[in-house]
Amino acid sequence: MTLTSTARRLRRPMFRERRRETWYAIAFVAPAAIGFVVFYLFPAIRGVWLSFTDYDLFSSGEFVGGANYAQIVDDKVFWNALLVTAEYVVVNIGLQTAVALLMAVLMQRLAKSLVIRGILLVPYMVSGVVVALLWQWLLDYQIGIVNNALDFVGLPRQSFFGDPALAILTVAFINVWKSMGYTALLLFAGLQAIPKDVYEAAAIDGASEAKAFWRVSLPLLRPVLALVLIVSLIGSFQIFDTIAVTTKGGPVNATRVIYYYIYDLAFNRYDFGYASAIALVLFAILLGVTLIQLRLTRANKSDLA
Amino acid sequence: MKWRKSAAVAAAALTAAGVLAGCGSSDSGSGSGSGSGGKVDLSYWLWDANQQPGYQKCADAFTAANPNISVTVKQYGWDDYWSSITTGLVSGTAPDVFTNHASYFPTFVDKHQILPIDDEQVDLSAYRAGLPELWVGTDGKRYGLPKDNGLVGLYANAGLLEKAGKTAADLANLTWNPTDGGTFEQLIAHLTVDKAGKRGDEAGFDKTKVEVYGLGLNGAGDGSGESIWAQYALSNGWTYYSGSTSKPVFNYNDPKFTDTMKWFRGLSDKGFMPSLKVASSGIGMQASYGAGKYAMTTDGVWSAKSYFELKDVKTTIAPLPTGPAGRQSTTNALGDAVTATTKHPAEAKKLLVFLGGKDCQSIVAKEGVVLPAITSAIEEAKATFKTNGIDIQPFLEPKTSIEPVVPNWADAMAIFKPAMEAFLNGQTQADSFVGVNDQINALYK
Repeated sequence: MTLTSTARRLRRPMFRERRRETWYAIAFVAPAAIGFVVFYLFPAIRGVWLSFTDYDLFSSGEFVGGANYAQIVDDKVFWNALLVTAEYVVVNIGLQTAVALLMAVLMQRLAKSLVIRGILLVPYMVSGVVVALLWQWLLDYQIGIVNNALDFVGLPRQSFFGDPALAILTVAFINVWKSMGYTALLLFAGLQAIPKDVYEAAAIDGASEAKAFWRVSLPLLRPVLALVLIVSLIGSFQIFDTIAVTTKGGPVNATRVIYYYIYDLAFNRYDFGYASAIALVLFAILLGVTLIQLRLTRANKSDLA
Repeated sequence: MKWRKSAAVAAAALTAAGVLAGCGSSDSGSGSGSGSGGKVDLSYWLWDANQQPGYQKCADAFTAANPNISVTVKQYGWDDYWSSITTGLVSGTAPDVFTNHASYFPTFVDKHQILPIDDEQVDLSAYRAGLPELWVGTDGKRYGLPKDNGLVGLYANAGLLEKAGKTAADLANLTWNPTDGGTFEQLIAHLTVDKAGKRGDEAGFDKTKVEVYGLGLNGAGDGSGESIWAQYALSNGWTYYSGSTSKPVFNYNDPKFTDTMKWFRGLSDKGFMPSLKVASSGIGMQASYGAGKYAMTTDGVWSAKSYFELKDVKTTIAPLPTGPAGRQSTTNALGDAVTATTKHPAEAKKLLVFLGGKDCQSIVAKEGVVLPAITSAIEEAKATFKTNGIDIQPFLEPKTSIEPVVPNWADAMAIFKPAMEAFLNGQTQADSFVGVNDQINALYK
């Protein structure tokens, strides 16, 4: 950039070629980079600043030091929200990964039809709000088809959204249903990448289908599985839409997950400073979780290499 | 829109030239528009899709009377609406006039986001008594005019009434008290039916297998308890708070309130009303009522039209029961507000006064969606409802109390709502409201 045009002209063609490539690279990266800086980086930095103020949207906000962070320590609702979120993430990711893995194997070994593979993806295509509304109808205590089916076979009706013990599990289940097809597709792609001859070798050595899965598929799938876990884990922490549509944080605080709490603080109670502080704490937690996960799953190394 | 854009461009050019020094800010006066012969385009937002056609007609009538001012009416869903308004106020893209809600009003006044209309000539005696006070801020200034009158009544499924051997006349003079619930509770019990066909007031009634609940439940409600529990507490002689609107002292620790709540939860315990767990696990009260699962509900007059549009259920409306302190209903009114960011405050205020005034409210009354706050339009509204087969007279029978319109309402509700849910779920007892009340009152110290 700082080179003068004379200097540029003196360069040999090869260098000129490389320079042109740099410009191409910049041109290709720019749209994403500009978006990242404008919509992510700048707001994130501003969020850090806001977390040290009492900003309320309508006035610029005064610097309050670490007061917001001190408030978090004593905020029972925050700690409860963290616990509820963790509960959700464990159920959601655990169930989703298990189901998706099973589906991926079935897709690879059994369901070769493109139509069936496509159908598995349909729930993921539907918007989160519509999915939430759909299940709200299906799970209605009195007129929902699920409860009527339970009643028909002689089981007691369940208040899926209204019972504090069930509400967060219901929300987790809905999102498993929505995302399992997509997760399965990612894992399926990973399975496809495993060379056939490994399975042939396993078969010759007398490995059963189950053994081949545990000893061949799973270890070789590890990098893909790790990536899928990290991506879906972060997505899982961001649970918001289903709760905003169905339970709105209730009953009592049973589904007041961290994102919904942040939203409520900022946009209903105009406490943007405190909401930003909680968002940053969440950021720190997610960063920690991701680093630990990367380390544990050795995602950057493949056993195929 | 076009006019405004070119004005903005002009303003930008002026700024660049550096000649803007000394010019007043946009809210120092009407400035542009009237007088100069320029056309002004105002934007007006509301959230209630049912009321949009009526207000579109009002906007057209306003433009007919003021040819140099056009009005663009826009409707958003409730959640989108408020985030668009608040972010719009910050970014300068908020509408000139919007429908305000009592729960947001004190914050907007507090943060100087809406303009007072004290300089407009309005005859406040034209409105149903009590309602105009809703839109006076804690600073004593008036910011809006009441438009509708949000009264509450008793909706009953006529078919289920008939099956139970009751007529609409049996509902006209119900009594209530917090001890045994009076004839109101007797009726609720009688209308409750279990799977075996036994009624709630018969021996052998199985409260664990209820097929039809005598009374529906629409969630736990917020601190106003509108249409859910407020009518009972009020008719027990309770008041929301004492003191001023800026420094309220809430009365959620009053035995008149806690006794009422004990009775209210008792309805669920007896199986006459769904528990909160059941009621909050589904689509909503009206859907269950429409499916014949609730014999009666308490709901606002603003829902009347949608009740009568239900296909499988014929509805009768009755007045709320009479308690120890008489027949009582909450009331609430929507009102418009002029944003502080408007470039045309004079025209915007003119529009606000028109929308809340006689001519527009008469148009709104003829739509038959809400009951207007202006007394001159009440008869028109009644007539329109009547042609749709709805008698709204029962709504007008109770005495009314205005719901609280106080600052920090969202913070107070963050304390109140989980506490009320916990109580209705049986996780806490009525004495927990004493601590809740202290926490809420601490917000106003």
